Amino acid sequence: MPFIKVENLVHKFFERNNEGEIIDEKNALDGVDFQIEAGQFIAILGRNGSGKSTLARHLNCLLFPHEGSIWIDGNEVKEEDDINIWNNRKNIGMVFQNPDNQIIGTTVEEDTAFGPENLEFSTEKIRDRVDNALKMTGMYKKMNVSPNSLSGGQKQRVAIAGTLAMHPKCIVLDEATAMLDPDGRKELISTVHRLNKEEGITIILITHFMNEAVDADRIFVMDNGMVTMMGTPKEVFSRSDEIKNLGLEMPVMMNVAIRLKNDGYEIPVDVFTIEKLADVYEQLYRKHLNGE
Amino acid sequence: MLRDITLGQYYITESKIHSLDPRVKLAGTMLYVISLFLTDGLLGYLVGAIFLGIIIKISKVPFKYMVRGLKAIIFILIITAACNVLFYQGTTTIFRAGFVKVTVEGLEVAAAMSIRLVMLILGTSIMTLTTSPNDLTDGLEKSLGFLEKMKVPVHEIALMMSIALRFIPILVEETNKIMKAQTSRGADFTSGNLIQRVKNYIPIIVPLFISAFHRASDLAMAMESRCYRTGRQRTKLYPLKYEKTDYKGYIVIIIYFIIMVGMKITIEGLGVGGFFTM
Repeated sequence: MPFIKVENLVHKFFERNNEGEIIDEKNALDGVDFQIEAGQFIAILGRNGSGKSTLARHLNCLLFPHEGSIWIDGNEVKEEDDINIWNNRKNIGMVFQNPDNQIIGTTVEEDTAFGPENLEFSTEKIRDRVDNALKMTGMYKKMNVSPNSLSGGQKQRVAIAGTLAMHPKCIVLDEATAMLDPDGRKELISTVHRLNKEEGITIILITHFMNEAVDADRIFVMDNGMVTMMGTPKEVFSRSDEIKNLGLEMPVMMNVAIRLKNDGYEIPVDVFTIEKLADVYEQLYRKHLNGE
Repeated sequence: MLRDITLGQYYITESKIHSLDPRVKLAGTMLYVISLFLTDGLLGYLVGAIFLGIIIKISKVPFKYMVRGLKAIIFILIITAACNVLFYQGTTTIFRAGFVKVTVEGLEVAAAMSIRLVMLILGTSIMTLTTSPNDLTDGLEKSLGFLEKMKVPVHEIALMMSIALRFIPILVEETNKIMKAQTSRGADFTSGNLIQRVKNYIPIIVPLFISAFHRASDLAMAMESRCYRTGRQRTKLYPLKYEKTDYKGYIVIIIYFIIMVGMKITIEGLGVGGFFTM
């Protein structure tokens, strides 16, 4: 049984006039199907309005399907099943885009404690969870600091700590890097990779920065409320024309590699990072020196 | 202007006052305020000021930092003092010009009033400076817990207060940003009469409200995703519990209060009133 199973998921957004009558409807999600195994690192790509965030909100029971169904950890999500909903929210942590709008507490530790407090844990257990979560995200030393004095990347790590303190099986990052500077982005991505490897937490990373997706186990590309491409980074990025047609940018290194390939050089298809490209270039240069 | 108000700004350091239970500090502040309104003699103010000075010293909050909070009320202070000096109907006239006369009694009242106001602000800001907003709302929540029986959602109100406090600096920053953005588009906030100036602020208020609503909706979603439910008893990372020092704190503030009340009674009984005559 996969950890998350989504079947023919449809979600509609309604446009209403001033009297509250529905004048138009649009399928934000239009028949989404996929399965995610526990412990995987999934990246979901797509341009604005492709339905990524709507999908993420279903996983956390903030929105409910109009058609189709979602199974999380073997249980089907139903709007009227309160206990299951709270369980899912505990098991699947969400990190949102704006770092300022998701921090509730006035100090880092108070914010991290918000989830466990809601779960009605004892004081000792909350203390334990908070300390561990802050250590895992490298924010332990900033425990007593006001969130307003942190950088964007640090705020997002506090937000991750806030979900970690509830011991989630999966963390969904809904464009969590969009408002960060490049350093903050790197910091956050390496944190989630570490959580994925060391703690075995399933990660669903929603982003429109391709470079963040290259290390994922699998990539889903969304467009118009549907998953249009699915596969390993190698599979997805080798279809560069389709990616470009969906209004997405290829990872920078891939672009360089493709250009070199078009010029007649022998380049493997999975050159995602600058280190890899440097290796390939070195090999090419050696061959050149040897007169091949 | 907004940045000058230290009220509601927690000064982070470690001191005996910081670690006191917020309920003690709330009760203490209330008794202190009452005591200020009880006294009208120099001795009373002196005792009050010494007590306040000791508390400030123990709290380790730099005095300069505290005085910043006074800047915002200087205007009110000057106006009240001026009104008292000029219009108080006293008998011992020092100086007279037309219908305005300055009397000894007027000066006395003005001085007493100003001192009282300054001590009031300092006294209450000591509480907000040494208590984190969350502790403060926790304290209020616990102290007003009995209202829960009358169906008042005390917990929800307390949470709203602490969230509001957290968002004040963010919204102040945002106001400044919008102000600069509108200024760069040619908006003018400094000229014109009062009504015009108020009108000029509309291009700030509207975007500020829109963004505040967006933030509120985001935050509500973030809270729900972290299992927040209304109408449930939440547990606490730092539950309020009285320690030995808290009882000592109560004793200190009660002794202070008794002294102030005692002075009021005996000094009035002796018939020695007045400010300068003391």
